Amino acid sequence: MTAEGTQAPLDAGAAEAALETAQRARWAATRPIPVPTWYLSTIIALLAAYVASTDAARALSAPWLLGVFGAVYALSVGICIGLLYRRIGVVSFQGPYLAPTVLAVTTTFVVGAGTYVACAVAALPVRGVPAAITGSLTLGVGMTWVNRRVARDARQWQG
Amino acid sequence: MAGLKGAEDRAASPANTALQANTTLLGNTTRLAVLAFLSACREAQFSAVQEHCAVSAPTLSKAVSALESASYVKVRKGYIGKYPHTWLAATKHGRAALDDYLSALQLLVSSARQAAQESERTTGSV
Repeated sequence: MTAEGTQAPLDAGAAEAALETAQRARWAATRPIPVPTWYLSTIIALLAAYVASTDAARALSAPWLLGVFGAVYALSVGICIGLLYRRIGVVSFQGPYLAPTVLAVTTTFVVGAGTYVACAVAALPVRGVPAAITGSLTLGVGMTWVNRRVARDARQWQG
Repeated sequence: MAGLKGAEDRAASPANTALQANTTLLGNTTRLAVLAFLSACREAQFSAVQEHCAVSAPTLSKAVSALESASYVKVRKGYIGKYPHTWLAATKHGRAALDDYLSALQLLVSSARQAAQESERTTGSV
């Protein structure tokens, strides 16, 4: 026993227990990342709604409607970022979630914007709705992939 | 017994030196958990570490002081609004020490497993 009242991990059993303690602690430090994922999803869903609203504004020939949607969108994103900051202010992460999440979000934007441009090139009257649909689908697939990827990483890490 | 002796010989290596050097400090479960938690993030609030380790603030404070005096952890104090907060971060030195320590523990565990397998084989062939 040490002066602190803990057993020094010099035998294999204690060493295994110490390894498990360290693994759990490391994993716990990265675990809260899925919470910001919800906020990111909300921001992207709001953006998708805004993009889709461009169709409504065009259909109604009301450009002012776009301004209203834009203002609501900006306000919502501001609130989301504020909440996100408060959440991740607890721990600054370098966890395994970060890179795949950034990749998934970037892909979502690329696919959404690509669909919008494709619809514009094809001179379709509706552009925002298809962009929002493909973007949302990509986000869904992306986030599922992120969770699976991280779960796999966690298993690998746990040996 | 020959297998166990072999495991001891394998354990008597540079990795074992790292094990011996860090056992005094990281042999304590709380200190190990604190350093491991901090090694997985840039920095963490005192309360987040406390929540994970499930220890009282004075106990965590004592563990952090020990790690800080070994330059494994650095402490930053600041404010969020008007409320004081404390952030903890693992230093490069601390991260390296933890990696060495965990590698040494891993080696110890795999050596013991290998020795046990060798022992089983020997017993089985007799």
